[in-house]
Amino acid sequence: MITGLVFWVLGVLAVVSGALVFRFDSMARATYALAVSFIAVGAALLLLQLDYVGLVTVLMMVMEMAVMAIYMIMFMGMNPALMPMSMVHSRRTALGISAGVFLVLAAGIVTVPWPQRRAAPAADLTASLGETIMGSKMLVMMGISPVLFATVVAAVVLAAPRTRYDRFGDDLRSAPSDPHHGGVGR
Amino acid sequence: MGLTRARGPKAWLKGTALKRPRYLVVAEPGRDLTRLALERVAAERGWVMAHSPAEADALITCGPLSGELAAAAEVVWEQLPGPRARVDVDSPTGVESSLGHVLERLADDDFQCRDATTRPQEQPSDTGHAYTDKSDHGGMDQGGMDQGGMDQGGMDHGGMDMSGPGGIALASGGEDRDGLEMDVLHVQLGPVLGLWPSGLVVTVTLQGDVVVDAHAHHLDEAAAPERVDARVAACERAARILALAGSRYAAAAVRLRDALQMGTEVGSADTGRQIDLDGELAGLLARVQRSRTLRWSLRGLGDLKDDQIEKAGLPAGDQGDVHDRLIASLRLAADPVAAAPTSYGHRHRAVEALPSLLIGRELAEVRLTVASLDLESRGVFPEPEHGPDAGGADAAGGAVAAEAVA
Amino acid sequence: MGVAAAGAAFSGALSAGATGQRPVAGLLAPAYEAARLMRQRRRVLLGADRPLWRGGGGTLLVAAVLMVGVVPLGNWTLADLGVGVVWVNAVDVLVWAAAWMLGWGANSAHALVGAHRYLAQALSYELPLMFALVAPAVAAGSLRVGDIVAAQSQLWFVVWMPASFALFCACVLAFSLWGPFSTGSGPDLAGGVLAELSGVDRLLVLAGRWALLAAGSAVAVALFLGGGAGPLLPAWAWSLLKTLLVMAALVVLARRLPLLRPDRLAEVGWLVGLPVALAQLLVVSLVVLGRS
Repeated sequence: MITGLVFWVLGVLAVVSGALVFRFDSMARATYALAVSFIAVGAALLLLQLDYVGLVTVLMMVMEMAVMAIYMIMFMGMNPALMPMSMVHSRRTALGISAGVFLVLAAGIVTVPWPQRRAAPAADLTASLGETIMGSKMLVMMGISPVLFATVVAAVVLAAPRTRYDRFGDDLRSAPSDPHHGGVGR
Repeated sequence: MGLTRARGPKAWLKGTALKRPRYLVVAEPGRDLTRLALERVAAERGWVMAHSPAEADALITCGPLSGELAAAAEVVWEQLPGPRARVDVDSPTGVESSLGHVLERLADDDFQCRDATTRPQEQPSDTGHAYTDKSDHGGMDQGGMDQGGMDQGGMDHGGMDMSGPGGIALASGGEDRDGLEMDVLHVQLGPVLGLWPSGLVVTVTLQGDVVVDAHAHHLDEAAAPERVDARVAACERAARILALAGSRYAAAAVRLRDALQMGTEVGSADTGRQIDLDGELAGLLARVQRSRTLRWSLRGLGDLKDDQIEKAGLPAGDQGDVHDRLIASLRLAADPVAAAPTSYGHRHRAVEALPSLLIGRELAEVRLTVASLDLESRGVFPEPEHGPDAGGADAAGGAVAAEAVA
Repeated sequence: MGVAAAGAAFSGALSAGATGQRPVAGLLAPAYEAARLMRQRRRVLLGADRPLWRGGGGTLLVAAVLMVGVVPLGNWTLADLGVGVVWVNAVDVLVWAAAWMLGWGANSAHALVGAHRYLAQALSYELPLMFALVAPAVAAGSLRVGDIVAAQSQLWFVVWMPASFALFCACVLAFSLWGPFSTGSGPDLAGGVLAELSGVDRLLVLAGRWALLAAGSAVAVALFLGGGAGPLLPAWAWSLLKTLLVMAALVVLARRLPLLRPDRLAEVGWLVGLPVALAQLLVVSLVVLGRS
């Protein structure tokens, strides 16, 4: 009973704050409305006893929103970031797409024959979830993650206009001419 | 919200609340003895100096204020949240009674209630729009806010004429050093700012927290400037750098500054104490020199090359980074036979050259750089013609002498 | 909360000692300050984003309470989540948001620069913090804080994962936005995110920082110092005592350091902190593998 109530409160909170993202006229508020929406979704996942997935949702999304707010303000040019502005673009297309997606998903909920639970859930859902997703592929995942990480770093290095390669060319031994020293004495 | 609006808080809460008031000082340039006395007595009573108007209970002005400084004090006074008190300290001897007056005012519920109900509810924030008496009210009455008697917000810089919510001037864009188009913000530092040379006003143009343009000027000095010993001045400089760097030695430096100042007031009669003090200062110097973390955090900040020093007309001892100047200041403070200040004619040129030293640095580094340079108006400065300081003055003097010979 | 107050009082005493006053007078300084702020009026700022500004201040205290929720006090835990360690991490990320909202909301240049400084600092400490948190979880084979405490019945984790412990303690200071990590509210920014705060708003933020420090110390005790393990005294008393000791040590340590500028800290976090955390994790993993 209480769980149901909490679920509904969280659901309404998630939807309302999600809708507020488009109603607010400030980027900062829109960003944090989205963060609240994600926190509500994460908490709802906790109710489903998917503790790990729920908490990781909160962790990643709050972190992402904190950084995203900065990027939005940084890249949106000057006045739009600080002036009241509409958070909606190409209103008609967006409305069409979102209505379509909603209908497809809702149709899915109604039409898919959901399986009945056959056994009790595992004692440690987090462990069994990890086992199911990763299981035999653990070694592959372990191999892929450093590659992914290196790709991200390389992409940033190539995209940034003021990197060590631009400054030094091939000679990486010379001292950097940064406006500020780093903390490890280079 | 209005504890002051109600009949008054319980007496014990008021008593406890008034144990450690926080204060801001607005000192007329050249009123340093009064200011130092005030800071010393306040520290003895456990009062704390505020970093910003928002945390202050009291605004204490030293000397009669006029012009730009008076306007700045008025803006800051509006920003004090209240309960608030404002007094003027005229001379070092008036400090005790003035502080007592502050406490009375802060405890006077009737006064605070009246004050709270008669002032505007909305306050401008501390930076960006504060401390300016230029009232180019661009759209101040937009947004349906009651602006009461505020006369700032909206500065007259180019590119600041667009009005945003609440009539606050919006920043405009510009290319920053990393190739991003960044907001441009104009922020005025001083004349009312903690750990800042009195009377100095620096207007910086910020992109992010990097200074892309700066203007500096000095407010007029008091008619009869008070003389401050060079060692006290050096010790104060060191104390400011240490405080800005968040070092635990800052408290000791302030204490020694006050002790030094007391020593100069008493005269050289009390030699035993003086020797003690020299020892303590030497000890502080040694500890600061040994501190690796402090060197780590200050290394390379506010770095001034020889040619910059020369161009700015700063003393040769100012080269290097903030850490070098911190050590140099402490050394000067610890030296009992410190040379009399002869080369202070540089100050005016230093303020003129200051912008070129600040451009390209970030906001916090600007604070440290300014604190590490001797930009204080100190009254001691002999005018250029008396001192063998400035190359220009020397040359002129030489020319006069040559003419006389001819 | 009591622990937080004790920590604040202790720090006050140390500050008083440094300025040459009686340390006893300093003990009461936080109480004086609290009373002063309760009497002071809140500010209504022109152009401020009020919900974000005030919300940011409250979030700090809420985060601290949430963090303590998963820490066992003796045999008693408020919410013994199966993934307590991830919970601690998720709550610490709330501090990112809170710090930025505080700085943004005030509509002031100094506050905004302070907020960005806090975020830059967060990007430096977050990964070392995550991997420091993972080490005890790997050793115990569980993300439940209670299990991690139980796994230390033979040997406290601090003994064989000192690097993780040290990093975690540094990160506790960092996510408390306090001491050498208070660059975003430092005097060189005229108070940074605190520059515009007065009255109750300011009190909330200051109390929130102390509460986070206390909560972080409590987590450190549970993850590395054997939780409530100890002779004679009951488990809850040991937890409390150890938390106080960790907090006192952090306060003393923090006072010895100047502000750690975020631009310098970034390199230290990524080039020293992260490799050290990973190396420690490797050692822990090998030991766990060797055991099984």
